[in-house]
Amino acid sequence: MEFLLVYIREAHPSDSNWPDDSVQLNDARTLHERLSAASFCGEQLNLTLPTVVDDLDDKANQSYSAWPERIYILSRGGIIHYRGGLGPWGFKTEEAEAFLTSALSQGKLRS
Amino acid sequence: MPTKQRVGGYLGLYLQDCSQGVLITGTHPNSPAATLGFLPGDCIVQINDIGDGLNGDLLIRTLFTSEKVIFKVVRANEPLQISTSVQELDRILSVGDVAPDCTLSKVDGDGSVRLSSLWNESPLFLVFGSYT
Repeated sequence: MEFLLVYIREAHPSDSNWPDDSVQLNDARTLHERLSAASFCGEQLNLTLPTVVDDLDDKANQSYSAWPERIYILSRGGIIHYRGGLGPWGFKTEEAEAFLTSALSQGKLRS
Repeated sequence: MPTKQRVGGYLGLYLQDCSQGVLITGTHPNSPAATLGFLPGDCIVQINDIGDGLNGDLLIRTLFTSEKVIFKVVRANEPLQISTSVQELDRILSVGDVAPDCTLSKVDGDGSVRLSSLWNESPLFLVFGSYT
């Protein structure tokens, strides 16, 4: 089982209509800025997940309808077995964990 | 084959609170919002039975937790109604679909990763998100 954090466009950048007042982080205008923001995010939140970053064309974000946050569980071979709701209200880590535990125990993610 | 699950809605709107409700300042390209016909300048004054006190947070919460959604909109001072369902809004992917393959940059800047190179070896747990 591999775990991966895909860092996507900020939900509440400081230069948006709905800024997060507790974090000063503008919307990235270059890939370098987004990589830096992702790195900063990881440091501040003490994240240990391997992390990759969506390019500025937001391709992964749009392809997975992920913004602002979402969880997917894929089987070996890339079939979607779990597609969580959109965050924040649909982002349910306990639900995803329970699904994963059950699916792994039943061997449903092998292919 | 995995069974389908109910998921929340995705619209693709850029929003701003205003005195009448929620102002649409833009739509994401190729999004459900664009397909439904929302235009910049539209003002959403009601979503389902929520009118008074409507703001962006309430709108998103209602959108993400409702099966069907009816928007009452004011466009150039004229009333307009747009209806849709969560199934229509969140149609891009479903359980059982093949996941889109993407090449993504490693956060340390040292190269990139293709998702299929990972899921070809083992199941993959993906968390999409950001800091704010």
